Amino acid sequence: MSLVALVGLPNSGKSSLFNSITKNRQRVANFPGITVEKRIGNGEFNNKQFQIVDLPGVYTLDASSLDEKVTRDYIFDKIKEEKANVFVLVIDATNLKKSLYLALQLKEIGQKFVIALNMFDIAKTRGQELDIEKMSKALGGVEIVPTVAVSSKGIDKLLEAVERETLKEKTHIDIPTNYQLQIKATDYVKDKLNIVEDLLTEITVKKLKSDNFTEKLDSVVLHPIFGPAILMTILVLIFQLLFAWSDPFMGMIEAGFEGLAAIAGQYIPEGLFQSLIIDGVIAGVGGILVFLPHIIFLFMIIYFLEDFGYLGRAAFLLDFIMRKVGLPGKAVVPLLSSHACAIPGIMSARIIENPMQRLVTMMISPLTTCSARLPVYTLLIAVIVPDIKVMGFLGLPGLTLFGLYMFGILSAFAVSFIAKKTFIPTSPSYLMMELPPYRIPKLVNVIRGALQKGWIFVKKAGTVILLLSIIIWGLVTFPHAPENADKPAIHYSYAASIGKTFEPVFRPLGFDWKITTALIPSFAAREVLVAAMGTVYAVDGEDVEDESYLGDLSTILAENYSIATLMALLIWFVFSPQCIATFGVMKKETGGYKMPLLFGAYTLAMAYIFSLITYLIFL
Amino acid sequence: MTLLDSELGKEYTIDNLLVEDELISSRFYKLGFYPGALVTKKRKAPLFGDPILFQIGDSQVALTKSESTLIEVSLK
Repeated sequence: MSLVALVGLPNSGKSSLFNSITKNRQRVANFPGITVEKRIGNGEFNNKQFQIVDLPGVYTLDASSLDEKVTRDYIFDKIKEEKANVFVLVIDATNLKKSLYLALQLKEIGQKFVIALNMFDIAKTRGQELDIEKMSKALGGVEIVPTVAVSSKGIDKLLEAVERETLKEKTHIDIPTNYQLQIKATDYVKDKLNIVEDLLTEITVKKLKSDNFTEKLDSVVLHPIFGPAILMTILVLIFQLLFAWSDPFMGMIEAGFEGLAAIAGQYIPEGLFQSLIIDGVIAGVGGILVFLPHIIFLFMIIYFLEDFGYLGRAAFLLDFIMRKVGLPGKAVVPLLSSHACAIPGIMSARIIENPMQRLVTMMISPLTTCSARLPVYTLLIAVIVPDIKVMGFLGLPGLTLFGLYMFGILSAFAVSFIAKKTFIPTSPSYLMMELPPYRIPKLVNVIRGALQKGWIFVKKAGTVILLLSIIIWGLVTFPHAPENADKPAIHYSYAASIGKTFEPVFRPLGFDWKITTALIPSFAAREVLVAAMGTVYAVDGEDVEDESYLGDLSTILAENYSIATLMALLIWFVFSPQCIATFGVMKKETGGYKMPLLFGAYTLAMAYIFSLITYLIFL
Repeated sequence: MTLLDSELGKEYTIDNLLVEDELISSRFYKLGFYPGALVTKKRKAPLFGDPILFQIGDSQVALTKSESTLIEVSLK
């Protein structure tokens, strides 16, 4: 046995089985040319190593979604190979009927496989009894091994069966060239379904009883009143936990990068190279990596809810509202996560099956108010909004901030709605969603999955971010200020030249060249604007979070700009794609530059239009 | 009648799928909705009773109201 592939229905426990076999010897790659993830790992049996691949879940061999096509193509490619490779068909023992269909198809095309009859324990407690010998015979002698993947039961027996199967001769079957068409025909499907029904009656000694636990929990979780209340509570909790858990780690990462910068300052001689390392590489990458805790914790929560079976329920409860604006119910996860940071938000859009809806969700998620906008909003609100109480107890600055949050989410919905009305109708979307029984998640898997996501972010998005950070550093550093310069160095840089060049474009919004210049480094991350404005106006002070620093900066802003300009700048930050990490992750998730560029173009256009309107209103 | 008009908690037999598109009918089939299968309406979502949750075979499947009008059923 050199290569083992896992196939099976969605939710059959394939991934748990994969984790049990590979332990920590696994990695995530993409299938060539597309963004469907391929999980590859190493297993060990009788002191011999073998490779194992976890394929995306399928119901049958006729593929409709991208994920399904990947699995289908993989299976048909492997069949053509001379090498004797064996598949493991993972069957959820509590959901036999549909899995048997797939088993019959694998048999039909002559693929060698063994069956892992998974979740055997649950099926047993629910009173199911099967005649496994009969089942094996009916499927032409396929070996069937009962397993409980989450607790690694039956794995050794399963691998022994795979080893035996590997040694068997391959029976060559000529697959008709139009097989893909044949299996879509209604007559074929009816015929196969009849065989499955007969098979099922034949092998069932005692029938499966309905799942009382799921039944009872659903009567609360999907209850007309309790259901939405529980959902709201969970959403608020996710939001709170994400901030609470991430905060100390973000502090540690920031401190770590500051330490790194200090070390670099000591060992690298002062000059251009030191500046490149400290202000370009360390500051740039550090500014993005600070969001890593958000990503990891968010995915821990998502994987937990998904493995537990709640994500589907949330989608069920929200489907109606989301459908009205052209989104699937599951889009609530990316939209909510983007309130912490758009990067995990965009990455979590993978839970949406429909490719068009997934794309729209990725495009609109960054419009929600991420945590990097908060320093900018706080600074500008402090200058613009008088600290008075509305209705006696509500602070106006707080209300403004809340309004900005609402504005972000409503804008996201509006864009999706417009997209639905203009170009989405050509691809109707369907819900048709199976709700799996509730299961207790295995924490190891949850944590491992989240760490893998974090690592993907660091590796893939990191390269793009590093490159762009260096470019931005170059723009604010070159050319150098002359010897007798009386203004801050940034005034002489390319950034300032670009700022001045674009000033006429932004004049209708009330922005002067100093603002447009400060916007350039803010493309690294939004919160950089605060420091950049400080740099342009040469505000003294090291710590941009220092109160006297912020006070000085507020005074300067209030003296130099009208309310209309500052309001326009505030609205600019609602829409403008001032975050290179967003571009990096969007390129990674969509597999090209087209979507990130489209995203950049539409958000910049919206930023310009809405800032202009705002400026004119407040003028 | 269609699944949309079926009564909560009663078991129905699927007579026919009112679908032309093979892609959609194949999705219905994969989830267990095909002529002869038994189906029970279990719950409606809080907002406008849309989508609806059905028990089909050993699994639970959610369909939107409009999807459920594509399945013709009769009381078992």
